[in-house]
Amino acid sequence: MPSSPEDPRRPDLRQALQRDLRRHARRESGQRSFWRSLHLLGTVGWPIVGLAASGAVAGHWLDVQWHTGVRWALICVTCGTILGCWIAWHLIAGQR
Amino acid sequence: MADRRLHLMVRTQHAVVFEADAISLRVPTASGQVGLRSRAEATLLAVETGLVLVHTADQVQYIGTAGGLVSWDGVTATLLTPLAVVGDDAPTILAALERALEEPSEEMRVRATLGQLESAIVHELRREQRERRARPGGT
Repeated sequence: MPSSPEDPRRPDLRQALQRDLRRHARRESGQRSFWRSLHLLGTVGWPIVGLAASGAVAGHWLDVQWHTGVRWALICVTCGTILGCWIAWHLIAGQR
Repeated sequence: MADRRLHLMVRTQHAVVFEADAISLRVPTASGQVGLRSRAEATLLAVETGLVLVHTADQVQYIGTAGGLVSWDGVTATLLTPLAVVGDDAPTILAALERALEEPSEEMRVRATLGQLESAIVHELRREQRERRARPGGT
């Protein structure tokens, strides 16, 4: 049975057009935000990875120098990760 | 290489509202958005009220319709609709729609009257059905 114009399933022309325009705009912005998201992912990821890896290398060097097992490696990896997360947080906050 | 464009014509009862070569178009139907390209099979689609997107070589054209039919024969797509407005962007098409709705239109008035009539008939049928069920021994 066809729906009537009073039927909520059939929106009026003005509403339907506004709804479709909103959908189209969302789809368009979604395509743009993919690249923005990829860029953000790279920007956020590198400080964490870089600082954690640097902390691991520096900690290992200290452990070798002072014969302390893996103590400094663990401390430096943890500190590097925390510092990387802090930098990443500020990068995200700056882009919002 | 085969021509990848299709010829689109949007017609109301009184005039051809839009006519151009397009790469593809996207029309709203009851089952969702349907895309049409030049290599598609010949078809006839019932178009719902909403936005038709026309991708031409250099831009996207917006067409607002009050529903209708799209006939596609492999060369020309013809959209037959009681009302259509055309614009290059959202504000333009919304403004064009407001202008079109402000003008008295016999087709839209007839559609509204038919819609009211249909609604009244459906209401009566449902009431009759409810009464029949409420009667003792009614199914």
